[in-house]
Amino acid sequence: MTNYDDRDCTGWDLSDRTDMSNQVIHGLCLSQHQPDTHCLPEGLTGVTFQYCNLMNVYVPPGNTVEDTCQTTRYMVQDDGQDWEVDENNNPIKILGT
Amino acid sequence: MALTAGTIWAMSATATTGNVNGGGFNIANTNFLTDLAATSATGNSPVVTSATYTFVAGDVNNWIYIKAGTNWTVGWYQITSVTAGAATINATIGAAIASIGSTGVVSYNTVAGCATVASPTAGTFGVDYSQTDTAVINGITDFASTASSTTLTSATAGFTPVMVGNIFHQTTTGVGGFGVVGWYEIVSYTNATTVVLDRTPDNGTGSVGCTGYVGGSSRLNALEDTFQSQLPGGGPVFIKGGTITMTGNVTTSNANLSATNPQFWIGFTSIRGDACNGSNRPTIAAGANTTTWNSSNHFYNLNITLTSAAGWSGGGMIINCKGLNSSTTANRSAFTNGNYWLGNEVISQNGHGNDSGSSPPKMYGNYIHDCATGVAAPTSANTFIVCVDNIFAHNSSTCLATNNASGTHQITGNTFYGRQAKMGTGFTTTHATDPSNLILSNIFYGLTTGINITTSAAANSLSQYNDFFNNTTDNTNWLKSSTDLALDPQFTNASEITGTTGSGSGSVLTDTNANFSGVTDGVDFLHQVSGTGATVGCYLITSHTSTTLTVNNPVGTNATADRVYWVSNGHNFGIGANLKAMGFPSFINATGSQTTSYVDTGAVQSQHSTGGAGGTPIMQSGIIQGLGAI
Repeated sequence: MTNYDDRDCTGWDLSDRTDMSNQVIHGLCLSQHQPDTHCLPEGLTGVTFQYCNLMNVYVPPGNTVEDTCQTTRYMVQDDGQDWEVDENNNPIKILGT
Repeated sequence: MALTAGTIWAMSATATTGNVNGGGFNIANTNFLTDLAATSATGNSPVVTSATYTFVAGDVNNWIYIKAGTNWTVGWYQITSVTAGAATINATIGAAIASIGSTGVVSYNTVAGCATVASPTAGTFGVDYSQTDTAVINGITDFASTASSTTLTSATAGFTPVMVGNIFHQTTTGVGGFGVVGWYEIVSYTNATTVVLDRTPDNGTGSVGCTGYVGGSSRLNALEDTFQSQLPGGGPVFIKGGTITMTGNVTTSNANLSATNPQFWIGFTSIRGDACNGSNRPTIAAGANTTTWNSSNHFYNLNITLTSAAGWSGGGMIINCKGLNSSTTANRSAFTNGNYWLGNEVISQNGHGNDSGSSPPKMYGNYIHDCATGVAAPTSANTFIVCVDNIFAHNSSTCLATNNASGTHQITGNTFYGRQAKMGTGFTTTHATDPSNLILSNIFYGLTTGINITTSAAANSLSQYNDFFNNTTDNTNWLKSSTDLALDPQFTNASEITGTTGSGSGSVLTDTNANFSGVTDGVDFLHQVSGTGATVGCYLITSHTSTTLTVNNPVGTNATADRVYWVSNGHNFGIGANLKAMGFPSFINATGSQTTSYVDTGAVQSQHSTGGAGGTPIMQSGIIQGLGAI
């Protein structure tokens, strides 16, 4: 089984993976560029994410995202900066401020 | 008091998560034990004991630090086993660390043993618990202090006298919230329930029920900004290989740091100070987090990936690092600013390798490739670029761009490579006034325009021994000299794969007419030029088959097989015979005679016919690093 712990998969599409369910995944960086990106398998279940960067990642139901993960949704605005956005994709603040 | 400048910090990609460990050790502590004794001290495996400390099994893999003592050899020695309270240490030549300088320079033992006699006594020593993944005091929850006192107590922690000099990390404020979260040095040992810290761990009211850790390596996967901004400077943070995923921003300028008290961040492979190149370098996966560093932070031997607008921003010296900004948004940077930039590999797939604004770095021996613009610098007047021995390659718009009003740029010995089918500009500047540039001994190859000056040509600019070949236009508003060349560089490894019948789905480009067998995952890049539904841009190839490329961003989904693309899969840029010894200077007037030199044109020097191990890029071996496929 593939070990997804402590891997840098920034921007990657892992939706075709068949070996991700039912495990603890630790330290994976899967940060995406668009909110709610479906980059995990749609049928993914039983995964507990710990200390992962899941910014803009849509996590299917049936999985656990611990508080130690980063789950901020953000979008690039006209000023060229990354802005944290709410559930309606309205900008809240520039990331890191 | 505060943490001591010069404290040596440890970081590991496999340390306890949450960055909870102590992570540091201060060799300047003055309260180490002074009763170390040893047998077989001149051999590879001395056995050490202390009358006031009984070594335990938990000490194995930690490092004893021998600070002083008659006949003792100062240094760090790893504990390999413990039997009946005595520790066996590894004193094999090259296995012990004799010293660590304030800039992180490491020297190893050159003679076996931990002393010059077989049975030394009265050694001054402590145990550095910061270099293992788990803290020696691991998450105890009953730490307490009396109001404003530096005395720390715990009924259960089990302090020992060899913990002196180690860092205590208090991670909670305890019952009532009176504790102060932070990193503290154990200055002295009182007894098993009491030690003295460098400063009070409470807010003026006595604290109880705080959680804390002693020893263990730090890990930058939490508390990133808090950790970096409290570092005292004057010493290194050693980072052991692996991938560290950041889950927070770095935004606070560390007020402890200055030009004379910098903080070094140094990646290593297996022992501090060892060679750390290519995939051995630790990876900091920052994602979209912003990373803004005080310029007194210096970074060595790191692999940095991110997508933020400014990338790895600030910092002083950036040496032997790799930076990749993989954002799909245009004009983002892998690095911003920085003072000195040596031997790095830099990619910003759709932006700037370095956007140096008002503070251009001095650039030596970097490989800047697969960006839109390699280096965009500077924008302010009276600043100038020093750009020596760099390779710029496969940058779709410009290799090196400046737009300041004045300043004399020194551009020497670089290779500016577009692509075989010609692409982009080598060097461009929009000087409003006389630029007075010095452009010497460079190769301009495969470019739409080699040198582009937007104002009129200036006779006081200097063009010597450059080679222009396979460009649409060699130069605009630039005066070549008689020493400039037009020879084929005969690059030995600068190839590309092209195609016009690709289609895309998700992050996969498919071309049934292609043969991608020569592609290297994690190293080569796909440049998607056009096609129905195509998202034009540059992509890191993460895996491949003979007819498909999987990349690190969506390529645009459409089944029409009309996608035009190319893959950059040559990265050496060694030259052939044509440019051998054709560079500058070819001779030097020395004391009435001429000392002949044989400098090749461009960044990569050719291999000598006999002797030496030349022929590799001027950068350190292994600088081109794959990111690793899953």
